[in-house]
Amino acid sequence: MPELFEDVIVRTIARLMTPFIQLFALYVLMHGHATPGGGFQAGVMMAASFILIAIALGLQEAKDRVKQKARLPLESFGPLNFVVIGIICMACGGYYLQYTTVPLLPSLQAVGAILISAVEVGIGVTVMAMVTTIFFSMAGGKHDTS
Amino acid sequence: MIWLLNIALLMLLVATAIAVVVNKDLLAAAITFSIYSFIMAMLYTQLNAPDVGLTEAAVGAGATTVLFIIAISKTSRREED
Amino acid sequence: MKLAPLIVVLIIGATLAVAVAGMPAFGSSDAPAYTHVASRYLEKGVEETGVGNIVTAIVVYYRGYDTFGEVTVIFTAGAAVIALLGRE
Repeated sequence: MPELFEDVIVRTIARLMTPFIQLFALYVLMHGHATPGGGFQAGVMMAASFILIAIALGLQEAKDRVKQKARLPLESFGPLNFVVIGIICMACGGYYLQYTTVPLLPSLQAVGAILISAVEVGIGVTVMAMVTTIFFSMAGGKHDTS
Repeated sequence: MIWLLNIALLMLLVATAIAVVVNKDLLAAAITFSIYSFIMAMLYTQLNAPDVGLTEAAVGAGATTVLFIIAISKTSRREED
Repeated sequence: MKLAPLIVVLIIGATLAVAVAGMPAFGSSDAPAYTHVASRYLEKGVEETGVGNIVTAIVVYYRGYDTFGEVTVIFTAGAAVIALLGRE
């Protein structure tokens, strides 16, 4: 990354905007079953908020907000979550990923909505961690030849 | 009257697509490509596909542009024939 | 030397423009995409899956296997970038 962009307006606006972007990403994630959106969109939006911090406030500030130790388990959480939920559905007598067979609640539709939301959360977490990691890896400057 | 907006957006889409291909300044091409993605997102929303529009606006105009700019900053800014 | 690619591109473009005329009209209910399973998903989607957004219902429930593949693709892409460039 080039040197830090020292402009008080850009830095202040980026600092102010970030929580609202993250709040909207969480809204898109949790309302994916009722309104447009879902795991992929929410994950990319959440990653975009960290990319905004890295561009406006410096790479180190963004790395402090999402630490590598925290990202490491999140990266593989999504596929694992998906497989575990699918196998739970098989164990309850349905097909792979047939969510409505899990006897969690009496209403099958509520079970479907809850498990679909759980899968979406896993997708969103993985996409967020992976896009952030790809950005940090590329912007890290370890292989900078210039 | 919505067809007027559609035609204007489609003409802008073709113009930005040609500008991306023709431009020799790669940074300008990357920024023009993000404008292309934004127009595409508006067209998807216009076609009653808000999910795809949201994805296109977040991924196309946000993430890939940043990755392109990082790649340009690590190589050269001008295209050589 | 630049004339030959231009001619090829113009021929392909003209063919595609002719092919567009044979497509069903925008929003037409007789389009092939709407005649097979789409109407069944729209009618029974909410009671079978429990989610109101039919796009989410199709992406995560009916076509859940494809979405699983997509998540795996993103995971593999990140793993490849880490393997090539290293962690920050």
